[in-house]
Amino acid sequence: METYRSAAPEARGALADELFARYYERVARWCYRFTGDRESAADLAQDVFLKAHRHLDSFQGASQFGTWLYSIARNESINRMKSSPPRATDDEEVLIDLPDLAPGPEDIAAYKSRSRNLHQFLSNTLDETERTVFTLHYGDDMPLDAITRLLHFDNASGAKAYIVSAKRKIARAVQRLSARGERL
Amino acid sequence: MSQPRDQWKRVLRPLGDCVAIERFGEILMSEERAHIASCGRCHAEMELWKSFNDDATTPREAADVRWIVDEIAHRRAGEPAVVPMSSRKSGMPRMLFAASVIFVILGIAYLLNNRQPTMDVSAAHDLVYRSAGIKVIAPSGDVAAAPVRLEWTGIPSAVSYDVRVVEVDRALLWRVSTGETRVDVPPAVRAQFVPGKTILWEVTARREATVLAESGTQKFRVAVK
Repeated sequence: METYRSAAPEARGALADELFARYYERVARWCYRFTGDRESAADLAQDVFLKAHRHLDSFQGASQFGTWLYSIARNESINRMKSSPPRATDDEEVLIDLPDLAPGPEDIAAYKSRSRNLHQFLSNTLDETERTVFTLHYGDDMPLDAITRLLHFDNASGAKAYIVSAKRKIARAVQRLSARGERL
Repeated sequence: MSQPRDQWKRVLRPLGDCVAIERFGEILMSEERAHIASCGRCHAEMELWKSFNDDATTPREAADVRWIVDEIAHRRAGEPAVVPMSSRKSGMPRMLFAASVIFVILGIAYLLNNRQPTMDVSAAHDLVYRSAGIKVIAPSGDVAAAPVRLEWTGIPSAVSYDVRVVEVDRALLWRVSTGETRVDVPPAVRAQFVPGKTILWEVTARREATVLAESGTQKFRVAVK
């Protein structure tokens, strides 16, 4: 990257290509795991590199280059998925209700405190894997099959097993709270 | 989307003290490590980052990944060159200028709709305090042989110095913590300082978890004989 910055403008294109080529496989693998098919993955990867190329001058070296490129791949993947129509598997999954949360407070300090309490509730209720899957699926709308591939779940139902057990545990914990007259 | 799902989505957003993605791969402070261990959001982000950074292609996906790599290379070879803003020159022909104006307008529209990715999924973390910089003594610039030692000036009240040696794309070659203001480079690391290859290194002075000063990125290169 330092070499790129100190290079003459005419030489930068070739240097950028060389820099990006080192990450072709990582980005290809990520996109393949995210999308599940190679044609979509190639389209996604192309967009990732196009965006990275456009913003290369803004990379300040505050992080590793690979981490910077990762953040582009991550955001591009999630944005693309949000702009696609919901898939049948996700629709089916949404039918399983999540516990309803009590209305949130209006002011920022109270909202932050409540969010922190709910994060703590999840940490106390779920194991690490369930919490990770729950966060990615419900926090980022990440498809369960993408989570399964990205996090290498080799059990029969993949990430879905963890989301089902997470919801059961949350429901039971909410019932216990209700029995004590408390709300989530 | 159901209402409970919207509610949970808001809850699962990063909190103010969540660790920024740009910190992943760096030497984390003890507070950051503790936070990641206890925070579901940060733990999930770290797992994803590891999946991108550390994983190998499995035999089952190897053929498809190879195809995608070839496809990327093929498509990028056919892409019109995207010239970074700083590389543009004045005095371009009228047609090129007009095309650039259209490109800029489209670019602005694109950015407004699809904002540039930020490294931070959370609010800024406020754990770092910086004062005077560390001055590097050696090595710097072109050197005759692979350096055996890295040296810098000390910072009063610093307890330790974190040293990172990286390649130009910031791939880590070596990192070490020391209480001294110099450190000997192991032979295995020196072996990577091949002639003509630019090597970057940085020193961070700490007192426990607090960062007191940083050297900025230094570079050296073993001269080609």
